[in-house]
Amino acid sequence: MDQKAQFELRKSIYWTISIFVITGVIIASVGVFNSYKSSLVEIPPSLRAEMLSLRFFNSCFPYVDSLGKAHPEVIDLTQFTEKNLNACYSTAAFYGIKTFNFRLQLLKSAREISTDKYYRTDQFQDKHLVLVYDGQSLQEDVLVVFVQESI
Amino acid sequence: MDQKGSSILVLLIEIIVVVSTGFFLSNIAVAYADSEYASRIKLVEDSRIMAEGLLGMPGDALVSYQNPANTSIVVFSQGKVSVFKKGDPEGAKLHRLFYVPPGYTTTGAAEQAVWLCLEKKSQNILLRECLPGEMPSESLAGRSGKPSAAVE
Repeated sequence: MDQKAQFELRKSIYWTISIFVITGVIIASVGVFNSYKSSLVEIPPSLRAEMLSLRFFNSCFPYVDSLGKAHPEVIDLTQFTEKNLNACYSTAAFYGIKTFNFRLQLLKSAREISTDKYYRTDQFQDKHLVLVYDGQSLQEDVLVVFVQESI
Repeated sequence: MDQKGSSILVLLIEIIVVVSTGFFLSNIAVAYADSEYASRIKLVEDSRIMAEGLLGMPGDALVSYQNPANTSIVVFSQGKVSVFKKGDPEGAKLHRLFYVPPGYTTTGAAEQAVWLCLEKKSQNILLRECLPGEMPSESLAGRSGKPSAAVE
């Protein structure tokens, strides 16, 4: 092989490697920019879960007095059912396990319910002081909200 | 083509490849560094979380929010918030879904609004541009120089 042919061969090898390197650099750049942008605009999951869980002690299981007034932060034990919970917060439109699921526990009343795709893989939990109406009287209780993120 | 002509052609192709790669990379960098797009993501995420918060709040409420992407259009439909610019193709529009309990409605829209207001009245949540007097005081808004929100 003469010198000219050797030079052309080396050049072809050089450009073949270069194309792979350039492609790699482009893909890596897109990945780096993407992850940086995601980190800039990310909302902490715990904040979103807290916003979602507001409804559990304010409006999902409301205690309605004799005048027809619903009281926030007062839970009616007869309303504290999985049927009412899943009507108040449904995961069906969000592919079930791909969104937040919750388990609600009333400590003193010893009652526990959960959403339809909850599989006991809690990431974090939150506690709220509430009043519970058991049909006769109001009592203080603690509502523990267990949060399962997308799995 | 003689040997000299051939090598000049190869050199030209090399230059074109290098220049076009550089141009392509810088275009990607500019597109990703575009703060407007990041602001639109922030707006659509914040709008969803505010709607979810309002859906769980008792009574009526008004949230005023300094729009980080005030050249965009924001639309609330039932269980969905969309952010886009006029003329954007469907693929470029940002959408976020959220669950609306039975009996509640979420509606409204605002175009190029500096302040957005989310108003909860009974079981309806309406997105609209804030009216004069509904924004927090200028001192509160300008103190950090960053988007802010207030609940009344």
